[in-house]
Amino acid sequence: MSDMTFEQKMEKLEQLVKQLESGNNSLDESVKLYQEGIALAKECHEELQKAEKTIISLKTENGLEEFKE
Amino acid sequence: MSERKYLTITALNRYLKYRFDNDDNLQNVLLKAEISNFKHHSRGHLYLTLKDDSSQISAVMFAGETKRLNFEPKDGDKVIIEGHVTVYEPYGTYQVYIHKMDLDGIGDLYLAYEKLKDELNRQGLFHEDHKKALPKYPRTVGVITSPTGAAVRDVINVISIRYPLANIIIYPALVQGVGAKESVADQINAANRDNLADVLIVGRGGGSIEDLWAFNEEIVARAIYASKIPIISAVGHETDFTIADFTSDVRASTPSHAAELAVPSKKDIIKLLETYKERLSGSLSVNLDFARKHLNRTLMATILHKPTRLTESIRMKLIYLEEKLNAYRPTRRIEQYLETIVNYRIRLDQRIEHLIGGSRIEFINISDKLELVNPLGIMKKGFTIAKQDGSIRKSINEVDTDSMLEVNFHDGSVDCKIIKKVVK
Repeated sequence: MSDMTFEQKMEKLEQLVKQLESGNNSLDESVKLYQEGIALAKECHEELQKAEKTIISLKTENGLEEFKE
Repeated sequence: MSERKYLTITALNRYLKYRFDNDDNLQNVLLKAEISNFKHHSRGHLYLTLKDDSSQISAVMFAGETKRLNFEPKDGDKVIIEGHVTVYEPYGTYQVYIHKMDLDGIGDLYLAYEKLKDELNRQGLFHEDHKKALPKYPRTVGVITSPTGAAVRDVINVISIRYPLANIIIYPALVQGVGAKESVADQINAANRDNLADVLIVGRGGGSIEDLWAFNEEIVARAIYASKIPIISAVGHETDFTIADFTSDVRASTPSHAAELAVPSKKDIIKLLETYKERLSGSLSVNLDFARKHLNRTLMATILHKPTRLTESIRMKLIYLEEKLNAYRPTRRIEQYLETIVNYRIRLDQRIEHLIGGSRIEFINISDKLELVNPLGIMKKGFTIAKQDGSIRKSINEVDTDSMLEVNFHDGSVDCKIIKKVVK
């Protein structure tokens, strides 16, 4: 799970929701989809809360440098 | 004749300069002219003559002011100028000091703009099919603009607040003046070579139409069109569209607006996550409900048809009820009697069979013994049986002399006459 980018996680979550809502799942599968979805939502939420500061760099001839305003 | 006062040349020129410098009209002049005698001094100052059909004046533009030029001046250019006029004391000449110079004929600019727009449109640079979708959750936003302007600050502020998960890379570019169009195009290409950003914001803050002109240049349009990374154009003006706006994937009215389009808002994502959680829970309980009803239906069907599959308690109850029911059912008793009768019959048959079987064995044994005592067998060995009147005579006392005696051999009989009796 944690190898995925935030975007991939959000997309996967959307898929899980849609699949669960489709109703074409056994009870076992439904419970699994639910658990996976809730875990993923929690992970995304934590990732958002954890991100404190945007990293800003300046492209120079020497590559990327810290940007100072 | 009154005493005459003679001035030095220096004093005269100083006086003239004083008069010029204290004339508001001369301190802020707006001129329309044509350039001639254009010279680009090695230190960066521009020396030129401004003229019209019947007059001319020399002019200078210092290096510090030339940074704001949007074109490369040359002889014959028609220009509009803001500046002031003053005296150069060492030579006693007066000239125009240029603060700002633009090509005259905004009309001409618009003509060029319309022509280029039509041409690029015809070539398909503005086509909707070519426009790329913006990423929903970009990891890195590239910003191509001046690193010192208000635009870059606005973009940083908006992104840091809305979506701190994203990183920003600033690709510094000249956004006005000579070299701006190349600088912007170069940085678009550089960002594509780096391929670090998921989306690019290309733009600058507001300004006059001349200030924004780099974004109406073909080289910039081509770079935007060639970019594999989606581009949001953000040239700070509300009403007019630049050619960069037409070519970019998404047009924003200002750099702040571009930043809002580039990244989602953290608040919205948290709301979305809540919605997803609610949908998951709601959907699961619908599924559970459905499964529960299905289970109940199955249980009911099972009770009627397959008691062994029931849960233990229900099964025990069922067996108890069944027993109770059967206990009061007369046919069951009859069945029980019938069963008993059948059992007895079976046992009887078995007993008879046993008895008969035993007798049969006994018979065979006796037969064998009988064989052993068979008189015919003994007679073969030489014994004979004497009979009189069909009965066996076992003693001489049972027969009389001169009577007839039947002597039986094993293979026949002979009739004999008893002549004499000898007693042992």
